[in-house]
Amino acid sequence: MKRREFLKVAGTAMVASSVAAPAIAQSAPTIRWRLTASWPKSLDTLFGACETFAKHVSEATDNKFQIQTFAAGEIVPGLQALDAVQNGTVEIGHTATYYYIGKDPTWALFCAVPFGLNTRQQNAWFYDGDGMQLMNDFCKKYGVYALVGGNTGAQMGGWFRKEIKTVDDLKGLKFRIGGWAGQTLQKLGVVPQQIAGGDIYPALEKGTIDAAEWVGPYDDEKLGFQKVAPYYYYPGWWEGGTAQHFLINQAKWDELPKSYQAIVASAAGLANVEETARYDARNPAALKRLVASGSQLRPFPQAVMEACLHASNEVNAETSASNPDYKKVLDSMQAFRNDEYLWWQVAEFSYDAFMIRTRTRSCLHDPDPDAIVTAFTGPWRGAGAHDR
Amino acid sequence: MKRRQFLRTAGLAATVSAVAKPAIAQSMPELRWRLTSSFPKSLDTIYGAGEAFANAVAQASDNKFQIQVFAAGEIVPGLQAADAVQSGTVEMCHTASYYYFGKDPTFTFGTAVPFGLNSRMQTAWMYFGGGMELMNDFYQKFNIFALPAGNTGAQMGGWFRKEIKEVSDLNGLKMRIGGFAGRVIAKLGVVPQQIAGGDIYPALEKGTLDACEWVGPYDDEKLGFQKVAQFYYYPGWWEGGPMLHNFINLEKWNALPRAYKSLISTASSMANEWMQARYDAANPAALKRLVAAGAQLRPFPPAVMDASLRAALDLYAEVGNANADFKKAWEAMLAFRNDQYLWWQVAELTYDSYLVRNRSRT
Repeated sequence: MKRREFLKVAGTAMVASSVAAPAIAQSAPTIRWRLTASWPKSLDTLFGACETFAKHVSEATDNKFQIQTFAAGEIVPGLQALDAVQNGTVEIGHTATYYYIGKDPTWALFCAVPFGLNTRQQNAWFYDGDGMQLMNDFCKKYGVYALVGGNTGAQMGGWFRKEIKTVDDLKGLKFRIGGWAGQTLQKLGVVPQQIAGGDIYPALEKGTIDAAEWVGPYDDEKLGFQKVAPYYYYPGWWEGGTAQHFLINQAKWDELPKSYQAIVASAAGLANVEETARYDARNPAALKRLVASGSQLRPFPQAVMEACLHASNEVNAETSASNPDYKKVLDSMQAFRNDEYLWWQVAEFSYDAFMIRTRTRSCLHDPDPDAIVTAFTGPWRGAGAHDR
Repeated sequence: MKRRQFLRTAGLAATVSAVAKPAIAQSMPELRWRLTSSFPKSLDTIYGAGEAFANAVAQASDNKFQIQVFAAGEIVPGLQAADAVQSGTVEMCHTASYYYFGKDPTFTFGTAVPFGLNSRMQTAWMYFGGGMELMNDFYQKFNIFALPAGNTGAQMGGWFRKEIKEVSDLNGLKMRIGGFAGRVIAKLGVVPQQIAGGDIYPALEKGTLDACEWVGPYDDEKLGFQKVAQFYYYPGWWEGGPMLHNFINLEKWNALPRAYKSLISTASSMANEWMQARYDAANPAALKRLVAAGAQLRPFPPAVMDASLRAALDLYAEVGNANADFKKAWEAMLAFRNDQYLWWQVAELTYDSYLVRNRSRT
């Protein structure tokens, strides 16, 4: 929502309620909702966003509005959260909308697409650009209302049994990869595989797949991939800032009193802040442990990045030609992104780049800084080379 | 607060309320608070975060909990917002903690220290890295409870009448620079000046001032500095991700019903996210306009960056030796920061780096 609209809506609500303030019993009714998540409880950062959300809605309403959270599979499978909200099986879901590219690839643009927005840019597009308006216009076709409810940050490129040195190394590669990026990688000869989290490890071990991407260090560590596919590539160019959303059945949303709508919107905002903060706080230690247990960090070679960008541009052009919704949202997102990175390179990027280069110079209390620098020689040099 | 403790506290509160649930009238009383902002209305992004916060609380409470927002100077001057909260003149304020470094330099860590955390890291430190707990322990001495409520993102290094090519160019430079950063940069010979926003432009024009830093493109543009000091330097190494806070009088906070504490917490976090989004969305177009109007972008030379880092580390050691709270906060933040950037260089920086170089190719 744009600031002006935000203030306008807020103002209207205030005037309306002072004119005809509903009785307390009506304005704060007892309500129970069910939330289906697209995640198992073991992904506690993603599932934790649902719990944070539900807890604050309950607290803010003195337990009158209670939202019970269910893990993927308890009510419906994780990839059917949208359907369950749409048909009213549950009132609300927490999901990654690129799971619904089979219905319409436009869904991917609100979650993550190759070479899209980073986390802060994604939030800026949603909250202060056209992102949320475009999303909720699109969501009307499905009878759902969307609120931003989390972001993982830039993800990793995944685990590979063999090194990727040239674009040719991608040919015939059986790669477990979710979402819209499979379309891009197919153009380079990759054979995308859809495999549930628990089945990835044995498939990698047996060699029935050659590589797998999941999220980033904190989540990946739990699945132990480094034992069977030691090369850990970055960056995950298809998920520069993957957003999660709360999807709410439109009729159920419309029925809520204004105050409950405001509480749900604020709690979703908190879930968004906390999910990224949790990932950011937990990833560094997980990365250190992964490197200590044998993971080998590798940047994707520049030629591979170039080929992927080219393939992604083709996918976007082809899809836009036949899907006006996709084109409309893509055009908005790309125009926003191009402006964002124009600015980003100035203060943000140069600050981060300097801090990375000099990090250890004020590393007074690191138990063994040399060991860590050695472990990170690859990315350390890689980052420096990108920068200058 | 750490997540585990946070959940424990919440669980406890839930149990208590199930046993002895207060009547509706008690749990959601009519309440009016005053919030004094440290900012003028013209800084609509920062001041606006206070308004967005107050609106969210009003909406969520069916207007029963109303927080009236006052611009700097309407009740107390902007830099006395914390004092007004401490003394109970107002219930809360929206401010930058580093304004109070004169009371104790430990205040600086709530907002930004030179070569500190970037915006996302500051949020991660506050919420899940022990930062909020550590700072609230400290703020207790001042009768204050704080919640994160905004961030500008990495700021610019400011406007200079002449180019800075080497460290010695800083010697004798009269620069308008606020707060603790002034003490760092003074070690390199800069003469820090404290000048209010409206007085900067004429001082630069007359040459009584050689340089100034303000915020970033969106706010700087309004003051027109490019006309009198065209060199626009980056990055603002003293403000990698400055965070604003809601400071709340501790007794007033403790007296709030649980539901209102929850509303204040969620609305603050929303303001935190909203303000960053607003800056991120508004800065690119402002930067383009500034460059079109003659601003010349310049990175600080590596030698200047290195000398500044050394000066900052020297100052932290000096202050830390005399101030145990400062030392504790610096060590906690430093350990967190070093781990953060270890990881940041892998996925985030390489992603941004590639997109910065290739943004116009799609």
